[in-house]
Amino acid sequence: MSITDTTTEATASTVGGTTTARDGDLQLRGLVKRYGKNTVVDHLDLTIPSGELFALLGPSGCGKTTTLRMVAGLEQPDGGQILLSGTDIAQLRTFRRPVNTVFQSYALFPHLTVFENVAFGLRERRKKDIKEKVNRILETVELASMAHRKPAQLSGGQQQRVALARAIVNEPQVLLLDEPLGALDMKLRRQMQYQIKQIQAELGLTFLHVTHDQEEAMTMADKIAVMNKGRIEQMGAPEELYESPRTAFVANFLGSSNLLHADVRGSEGDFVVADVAGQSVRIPRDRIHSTNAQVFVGVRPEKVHLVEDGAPDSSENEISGVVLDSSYIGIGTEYVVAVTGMDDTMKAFVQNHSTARRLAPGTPVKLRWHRDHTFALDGNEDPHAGEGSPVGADTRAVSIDPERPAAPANQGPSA
Amino acid sequence: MVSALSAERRRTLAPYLLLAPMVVWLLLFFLAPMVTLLMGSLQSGSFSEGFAFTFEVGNYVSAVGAYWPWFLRSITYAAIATLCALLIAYPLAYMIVFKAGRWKYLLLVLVVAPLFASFLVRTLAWTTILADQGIVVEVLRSLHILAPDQWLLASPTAVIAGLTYNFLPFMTLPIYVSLDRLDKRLIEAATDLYASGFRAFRRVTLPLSLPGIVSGCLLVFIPAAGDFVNAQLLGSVDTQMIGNVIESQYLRALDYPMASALSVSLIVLIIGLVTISMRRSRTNEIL
Repeated sequence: MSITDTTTEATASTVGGTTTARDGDLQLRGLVKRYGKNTVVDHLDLTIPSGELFALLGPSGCGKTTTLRMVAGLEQPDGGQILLSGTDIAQLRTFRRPVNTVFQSYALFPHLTVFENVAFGLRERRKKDIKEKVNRILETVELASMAHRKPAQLSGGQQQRVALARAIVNEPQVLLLDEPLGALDMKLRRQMQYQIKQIQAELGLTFLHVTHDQEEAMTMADKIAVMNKGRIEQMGAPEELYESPRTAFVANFLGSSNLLHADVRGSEGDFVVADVAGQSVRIPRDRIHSTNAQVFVGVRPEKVHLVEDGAPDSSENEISGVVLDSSYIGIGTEYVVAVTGMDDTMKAFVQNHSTARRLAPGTPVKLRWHRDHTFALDGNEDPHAGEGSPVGADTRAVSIDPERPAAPANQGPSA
Repeated sequence: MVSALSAERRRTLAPYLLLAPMVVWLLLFFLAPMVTLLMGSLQSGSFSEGFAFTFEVGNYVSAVGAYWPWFLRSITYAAIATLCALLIAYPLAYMIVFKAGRWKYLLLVLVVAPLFASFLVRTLAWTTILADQGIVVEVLRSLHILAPDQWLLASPTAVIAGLTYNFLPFMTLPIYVSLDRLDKRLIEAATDLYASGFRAFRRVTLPLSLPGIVSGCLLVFIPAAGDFVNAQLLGSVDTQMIGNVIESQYLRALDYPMASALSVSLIVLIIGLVTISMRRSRTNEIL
């Protein structure tokens, strides 16, 4: 596999010009799309660096697919710019844009063979060596033996790979993936996530991957932008977003979080001290995303451990409560604990690697976690924003292994 | 023992019993008329003296020998009418599917609406439209497309126009269905893969609507080739089609064997032509 020719060569004639942006970067500036009175994409600003696998993550209806379709040229923006290598392509006709799309429905041409499907874009641009290029890419996606079949004779996973091959054979400056794995079963999806990641690394193309599946985004992407109601909530590497979410939406949509009402009391070195129902909690200064005195103190359920007695470590935060409920989930046990002195409950996910018995409801416990795992959000936020997302809302805390967020997914009970 | 046997027999009979209504229907309405027609075409004798089955193959020889120009004219008129109907129906169906928006169903009703009036009445209406003092002739004359001493009625043009008009819905509907069923995302995918609007039409929309085109052509060509009403009402002696000959052999000359032989010949001719063109269109499917 050696498709390493520069991707700009094919399109230099249509998209010329240079600016300060790095060559190959895709920049969205103030992008707006309205359907009637409904603003689907609301002054979106986003830079997708050249050569990265970038995920646009959000619940259905957040405008992520519309954004992707505007980049592809299948929707016309109502405002803003789409800059590719510094040149605005927003007014360029669809078929003149140096981008290709892998559609959610695959949209394979049913009357053409696999070979002709893949050759479609090359033929339209009157490329040379079509046969070699198509065969090479079919080998990459392990479909060389299927070249003369019609799409209807292929399985879902094979069709997905044809869709991928049909797009990447054109060596687009940006490859757009619109929920490309949505129709596959879990096992196949994992394989494809890995394969797409490998292909991306091999080709060095820029991939813009739209998905509502936070696990998929974390597994595959170099960088994730979490989108909500037509805007970007937060952008960063998967670890960054997961460890230090800036909004309640991100905290809840990406994994799950405990968010407790708290008042800031003062500071102590690199930490800020907050009061949670009369109990002091220390938060690292750089993980506070609020200027308000009222905050939500946040911690991920799997960072919390439960003890019945004993003194806390000096580096730990501690809150006392009473076990309300526990669920056994194979690799771990999830506890719901009522926090003493307030209405809030906390979730704690405890890995099943000790021989200790399961704590019965009614047991008084201490919830402890390392200070560095604490974050704080603005107290005016809706602590339930982003909850009840479509995929596995209750297993989210379990299915993410925080130590290895970008590892090819091969663990997690939800598989 | 007896009941067990009958249960067994019932089980083996079940499929045949289920097929029975279909078989009876086919025998009664398809095979019986065909056999009658075929038998009739091999009879000899006259209406006054009575017909007898004598395996008279000579009927076919004289039918084709005497009337081959009418066969040729029927096929030509039907083929031109099919082509005209296709050229009108395809853009019409395309517009209804892709451009009509909320007017889609109203337009569909309008396509079908003429079928609510009788075939004869519709064709008679065309005698008024194409009349020598009618608006069409006057406009064509003022545009010097038609000379002052030329007319439309009683010309091949009128017959073909009538055929085109009368069978237009049967071309429009199958094309409409195939275009409507077409996944519009395929067109998006084509434009995403560097195909311009025209190229996307040429490489995706057109080939995928081919089944609609083929069935539309069959539904127009077959009845048009056997039609006699349009030639009778809009044509002249010089534009008579094979349908007119069959009609007069049956109803005026009362030569039933000749009429039957002509009918069977027409059926065979149409089946032959359709088979050949279907074979060829299949190779065209690759485009």
